[in-house]
Amino acid sequence: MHAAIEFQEVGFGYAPGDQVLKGITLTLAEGSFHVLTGASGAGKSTLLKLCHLALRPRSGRLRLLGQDVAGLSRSAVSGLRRRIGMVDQDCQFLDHLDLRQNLALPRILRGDRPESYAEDLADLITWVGLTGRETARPSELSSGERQRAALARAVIASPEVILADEPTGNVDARMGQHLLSLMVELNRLGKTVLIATHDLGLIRSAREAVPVRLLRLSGGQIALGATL
Amino acid sequence: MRRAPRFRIVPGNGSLGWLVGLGASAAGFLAVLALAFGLAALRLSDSWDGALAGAATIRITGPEAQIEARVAAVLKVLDSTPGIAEARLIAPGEQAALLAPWLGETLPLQALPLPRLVAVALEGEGPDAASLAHRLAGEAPGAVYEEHGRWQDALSEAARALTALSAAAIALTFALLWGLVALGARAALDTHRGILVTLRMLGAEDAFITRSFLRRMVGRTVLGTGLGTAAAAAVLAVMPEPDASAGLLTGLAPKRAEWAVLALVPLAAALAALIATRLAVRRVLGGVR
Repeated sequence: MHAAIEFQEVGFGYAPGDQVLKGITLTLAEGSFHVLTGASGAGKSTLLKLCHLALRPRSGRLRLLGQDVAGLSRSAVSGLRRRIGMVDQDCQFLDHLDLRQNLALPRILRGDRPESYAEDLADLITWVGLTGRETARPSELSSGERQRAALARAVIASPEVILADEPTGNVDARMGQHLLSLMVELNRLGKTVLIATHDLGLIRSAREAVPVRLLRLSGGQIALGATL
Repeated sequence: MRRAPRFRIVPGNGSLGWLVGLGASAAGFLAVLALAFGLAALRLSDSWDGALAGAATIRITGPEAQIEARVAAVLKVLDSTPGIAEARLIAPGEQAALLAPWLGETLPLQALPLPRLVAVALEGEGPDAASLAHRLAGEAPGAVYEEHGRWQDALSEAARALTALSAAAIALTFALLWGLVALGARAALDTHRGILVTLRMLGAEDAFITRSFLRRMVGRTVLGTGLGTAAAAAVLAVMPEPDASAGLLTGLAPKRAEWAVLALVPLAAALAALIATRLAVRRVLGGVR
């Protein structure tokens, strides 16, 4: 099985001398389901941002979907990002567009016609429980609704990798389980999933549904096969 | 190539967009007037060249009693001079009409001791001026041969200066338009930086983002310069018909195909806006991963 994401001795710090991640070596196989845990400030979001090319490693080598991120052209970065769905904690949207238009953006960027994604869009909106909010502006959504919308946007273009940073942080337990079931379904379809979370209930539920590899980030390093 | 979505990826810029449109209108208006001025200068230069080339005048002065004999002598000399196609005595009435714009129509010109004028049409290289002057001095004292060509260089230079002035005015207008569009694009990009970052994170290519910004900025510029061009064309259309006495002042309205040249102003403005916006977007995108 090929690696979807491969860290080789990857180090990163936001300032010179600062080391958030210290020589991380990690391989996420295609179609795998990983959960990343760790204390606040341990570097979970940083690791996910590296996987989404929002940050670049200071040292070591990072390969995403078979491509070494060092020296990638801007166009290649765009191409990779279209193959990776990201749910980050900021949940940034285009405020002048309504929810439906925002969720359609990844498909538009792929060059799809509206009629080709209208059904997927409607299904996803229903799945994440945003039916009736299609014409709402992002500023009119609650933080929980924004989080659900971000997940829908991350998966609408059927990316090969799904990265989610605390995807259930602002939703209730029932909705959290519901969103997790979406990611589990996508994983069963062969998508690679990496979730950073503190939510122990979510981790247990994921382990009951699919084989989950648990990663613990501590002191800038990854402990593989961590226990809860 | 990504298809254009059915909604605007980049929102409007409110008053900034209108400001760019208004500035583009003013630039279009001024550029068209400057262009019309330049075209009129070129036309005037051509008409001066046409009128002065191949022509000369002989001015005859002398005592009243001898003037007719001198005129006859001059015509006789010209008749036998190589390089002269035609020589014609300008009638007093015609001479008065030529002077009327300068001296007025009420002045009794017949009371003034005006010289008699012979209009000469040249052929080929024209006559040997020195030889002709020598013969005229002998046959008709007081007759002076004047080739119009000596005015031609000065007038051509004046026309060239007017054309250069017009070109400079057009260049300055476009420089201002460029600056306005570049500033507008930079301000729009600063305002919508969040959109730009979000689009990049979703995997938008630089070309897609650039096109989204270009559409708005170039659209405003073309609309603005188009309106400015139309307004200037309307002004030019009601300008008085050309009048020989007023020259450039009344001949500003373009002639036939020249109207089509005015349409180049919005096209050139679109090109300038395209390049200015593209450079501004590229500069800002360079700072976004």
